[in-house]
Amino acid sequence: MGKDKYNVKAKSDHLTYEFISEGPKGNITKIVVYQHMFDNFYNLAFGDFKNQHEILDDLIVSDNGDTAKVLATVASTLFDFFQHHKGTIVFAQGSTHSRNRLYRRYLSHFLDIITENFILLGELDGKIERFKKGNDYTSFYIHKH
Amino acid sequence: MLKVNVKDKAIANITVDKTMDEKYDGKILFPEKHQRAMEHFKGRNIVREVEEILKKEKSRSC
Repeated sequence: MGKDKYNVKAKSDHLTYEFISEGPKGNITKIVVYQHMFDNFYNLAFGDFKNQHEILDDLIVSDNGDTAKVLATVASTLFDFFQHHKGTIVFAQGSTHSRNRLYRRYLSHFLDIITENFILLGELDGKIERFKKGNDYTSFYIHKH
Repeated sequence: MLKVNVKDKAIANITVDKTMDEKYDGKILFPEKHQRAMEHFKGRNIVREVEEILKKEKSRSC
């Protein structure tokens, strides 16, 4: 979203994406998965790929000094996902409070660009509404216009 | 005239890679996240909830 992004490899079903985060901690393979839940709902899951047997949750903070670039890259997968899965709704929820805070900050920062392309909803205490800056949402819903 | 496939700028960094199909074939990734999301919606008609809000939002933007 106007930010520097990593190159991403996509699975041909446009549900799984992979890219390499480069930073002081070395190269870390990141995976973004759109998990089908029910109806037109998908869950956005994101984490580190360690090896074929171990895939890490985003509870692990890799802290590779490139958070903005990683989030911009994840955002680019949303555009690609919606291009191939029209009419869907993506649900996103950080695995910790600090993760949700980070997502909120990022979404607020790019809200104008986001709302040009998507309808963004936030959920707080079970109430869903159009995303507004400053509210402590704990989960998010994204739908392409 | 040569037809040029101009990729959307937002996804210009994304390429379909067939090796990804083999690498992740049959793998269930992040099952705990799927489970957590499903639990979040337990006892709710989330489809209706969200669809109603989206309908409202869409009519506002018209």
